[in-house]
Amino acid sequence: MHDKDLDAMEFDSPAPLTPEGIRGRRRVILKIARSLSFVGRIEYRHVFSQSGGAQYGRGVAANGDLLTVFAEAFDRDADPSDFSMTAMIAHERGHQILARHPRLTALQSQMSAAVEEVLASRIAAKIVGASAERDMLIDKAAADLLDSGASVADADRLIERWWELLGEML
Amino acid sequence: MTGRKTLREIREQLTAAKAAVTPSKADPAAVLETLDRLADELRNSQQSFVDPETPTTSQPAAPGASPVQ
Repeated sequence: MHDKDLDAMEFDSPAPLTPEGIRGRRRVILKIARSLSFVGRIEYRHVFSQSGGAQYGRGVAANGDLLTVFAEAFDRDADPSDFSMTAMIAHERGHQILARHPRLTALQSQMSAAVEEVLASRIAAKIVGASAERDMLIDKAAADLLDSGASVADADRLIERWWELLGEML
Repeated sequence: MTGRKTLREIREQLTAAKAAVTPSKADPAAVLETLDRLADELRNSQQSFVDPETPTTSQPAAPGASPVQ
């Protein structure tokens, strides 16, 4: 292993937190997740996930679902040029709605991970209402579409199309 | 939340894409077609879908019930 890799590993560890600090983070997450109607268990892990900051896990039923928020979500939230905690948790709530809404669940088996990622952001943008978070999440959906090879025009058209569809359901 | 791109990086990407004249290199078919097809399915299912938690208004009247005035 190169020294550079070792340096990167050190960089990728969260700073230590007191038990009260951990509890404070849990309270923040719980409040936001409940305000977005997340159903199921909600936990904070004081580790770097290398996966963006938060993760949705599907249980047998909705009350067995799991929202896990990782340390880097707080670092990202503190950076004004990055996603807010509300936007990150709303995105995971978007995944839960995709998995649990009776009409969307029927479609989920046909979705690739890339499609699901776009729709989770699109749904999240719908549920946060008019806010800075809505703009963040629409931009994430658009960027994910561009990454999949879409043109700007296609991305705009699809985002608008799903906006109307979701508006009738959510 | 998948992906480690920051919001700033995403917005720079969108700005650059809007200014670009060359099309994207990746094949867009899979994701775009799926999203359009799913949107079609969702749209078509709207006519037949009844939310099980939403009471319908077409319930037969109970025996002896008075008609609504």
